[in-house]
Amino acid sequence: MTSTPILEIKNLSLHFGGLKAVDDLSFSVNEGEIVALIGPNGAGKTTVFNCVTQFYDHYKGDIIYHDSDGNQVDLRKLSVTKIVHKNIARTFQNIELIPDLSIIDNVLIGAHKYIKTSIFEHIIKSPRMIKQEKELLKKAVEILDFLKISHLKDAFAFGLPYGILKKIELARALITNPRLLILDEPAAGLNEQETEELSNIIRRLKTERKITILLIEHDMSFVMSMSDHVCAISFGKFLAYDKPGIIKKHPLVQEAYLGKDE
Amino acid sequence: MEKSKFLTKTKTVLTKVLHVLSKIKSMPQVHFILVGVFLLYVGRNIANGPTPPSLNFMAEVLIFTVAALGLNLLLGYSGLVSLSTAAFIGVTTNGINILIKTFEFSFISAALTMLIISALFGLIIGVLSLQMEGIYLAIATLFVGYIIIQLFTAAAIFNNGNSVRIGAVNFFGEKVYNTLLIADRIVLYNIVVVCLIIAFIITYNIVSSPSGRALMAISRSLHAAEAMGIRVKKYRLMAFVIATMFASFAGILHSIYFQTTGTADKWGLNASLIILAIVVIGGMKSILGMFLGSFIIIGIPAFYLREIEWFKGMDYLLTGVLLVLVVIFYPYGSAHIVYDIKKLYYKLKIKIKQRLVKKND
Repeated sequence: MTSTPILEIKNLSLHFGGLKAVDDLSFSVNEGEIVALIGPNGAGKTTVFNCVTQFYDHYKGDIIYHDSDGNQVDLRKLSVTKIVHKNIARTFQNIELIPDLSIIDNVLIGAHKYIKTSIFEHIIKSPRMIKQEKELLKKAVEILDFLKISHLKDAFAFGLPYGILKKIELARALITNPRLLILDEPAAGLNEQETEELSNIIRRLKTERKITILLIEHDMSFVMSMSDHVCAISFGKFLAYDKPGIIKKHPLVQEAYLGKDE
Repeated sequence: MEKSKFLTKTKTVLTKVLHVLSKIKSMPQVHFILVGVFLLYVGRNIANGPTPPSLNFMAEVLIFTVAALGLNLLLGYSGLVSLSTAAFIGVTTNGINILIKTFEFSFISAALTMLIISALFGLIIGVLSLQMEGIYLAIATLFVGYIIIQLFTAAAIFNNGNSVRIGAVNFFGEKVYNTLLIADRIVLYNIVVVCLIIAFIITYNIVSSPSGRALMAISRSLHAAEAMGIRVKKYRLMAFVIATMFASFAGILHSIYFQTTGTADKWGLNASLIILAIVVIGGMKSILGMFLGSFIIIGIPAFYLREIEWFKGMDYLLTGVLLVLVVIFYPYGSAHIVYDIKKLYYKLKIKIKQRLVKKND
C-alpha cells in the first residue's frame, strides 16, 4: 500500500487558560488507513478532533489536509462550515442528532452541502428543488440500507436505542461522501454484538469506499483488531505512533494507562 | 367468465383510485385548502347572522394566525424568540397609510413596499440575534417593539398613535371595496382567507425544505449543523426576515379587511405576548395549530365569553391560565389533540379486538 498522507498534524498545541489540552503533538494519517487515537480520559483526543474540524481555531501549529486534487490545504484557513466541503466528515462523542426530525431528515442534514437551491425556490417548491430532494433522498436511503436501518427511516430520532442513534450519526457523516471520516468514540455505549457489527461496517467503509478513518475509542480490543496504526497520547503529549501490536507492548503507553512501577 | 374479468378490472381501477385519494388525503396542502373552505363557509354564515361584528372577530383571528405562523418559524423551528411581532404589524398598517395618503401609492404597491421595508427591519433584528440569545434576545426585541410603539404615539405622521382610516381598498384599479358594507366585507374576508391559505402553504414549504431542516439543525444542535456545513448567520437572518415579513403580511391583511391603521396600543407588548401565547397554546411546530391557538385565545373570548357579565376585561386572565396549563400539562399544544384522539382510537380498536378474540376462545 502506498503511504501518502491525507492529514498531517504538525506541532499542534492548544491551551485553555492555564490548562494545556494539546501539547506539541505531531502525527500523520495515511490515505486509506484506519488510524486510532487513544489515550486515557482527558488526554486531549476530542480536542485534536475539534482542531481538525476547526471548532477550535486558536491553536498553534499546522493541520495540513491533502485534498483529492493533490493540493495541500491548511485547514486553519477554512471556516468550520467549509470543512465538510473538503470531504472531511465527523461524528460526535455525545450524539448530536435532531430529536424532532425523522431519521431520513437527520441524514439529509448531512447533505446540506449539495443544496444549490435558494430559499425562494424552497418557498414555491420549484421543480428543480423537488428533483434535487428526490436525488438526495435516494442517496440517503442507500446509506441507510448499507447500515441496515432503512426500515426505520420515517421514525423520529427521539427515544430510539443508542446503537441506532450512533448509526444515524454515521449515516449523516457518510452522505457527505467523505474521504476522511473522523469518528469520536463510535463504539461507546454499544453492546458486544453492536460493536462487532460496527467494526464490520468500518472495515467495509475502508475496503469498499476507500475512506480513510481517524477514530477515538476506548474499547482496546476494537481498536487493536481493526486499526492499521495507533497514535497514543497522554495529557496532550505524544507518546507513540505505531502498529497496534507494537503499541500494546510500548512501555510509555502501558505507563500512561496502568501507571508506573514503583 | 367475462363478468369476473370485468369485476377484477374494476376492482384494480378502484383500488388505484383509492390509493390516489389516500395520497391526496395525506397531503398537508389539501388540509390547508379544506380548512380554508371551511373558513369561507363560516364567514358566509356569521356575516348574515344577527351580529355582523362576528365577521370582524373572525378576520382578527385569521390575521393573528398569520402573525403567529411567522413567530412559530422562530420559536418552534429556529429556537429564537421575538417580542416585537405585533409592532411590525403596526409598522405595516401605518406605513401603508402614509404611502397611500402622502405619496399616493396604489394599495398593492404600498403593501409590497411595506413588505420589503419589514424585511429590512427583520434583517436588523436578525443581526441583533447573532449577538445574543434566549432571554437577552427577548429583552432586545421587546425594546425594539417598545421604541416603535413610542414612535407611533409621539409622531404626528403616525397620528399620535390613534387609529385612522386608510380608506377603501381597491385592487388593481378595479372595484372599490368598503368595509362599511356587509357585502363588501364578505369579499374582503374571503381575500383574507385565501391569503391565509397561501401563508399556510408557504410555511409548510419552508419547513419541509432543506432550509427548514437547516433551521432545526441549528436550534437543536449547533455543532452538528456547523460540521455539516450549515452557515448559522445566514439561516438566523433568514428566519428573522421571514418572520417579520409574516407579521407584515398580517398587517397588510389588517389594512385590507379593517382598512384602519389600528391604535398604537393595539400593537403593543400585549399583542406580541398574545401572539406568543397563540404559538405556545396552538402548538409549536404545528401549522394548523396556529389557527386553533388564535381561535382559542382571540376567538373564544370574542364569540362566547362576551355576553357573560362578570367576565368583561378578563381575557388576559384566561390567556394566562391557559398558557400555564398548556405549558405544564400539554407541552405539545392544542394541535396535538388530533394525535391523541387518533392514539385513543387505535388503543380502543385494539382493546375491542382483544375482547372479541377472548370471547371467541
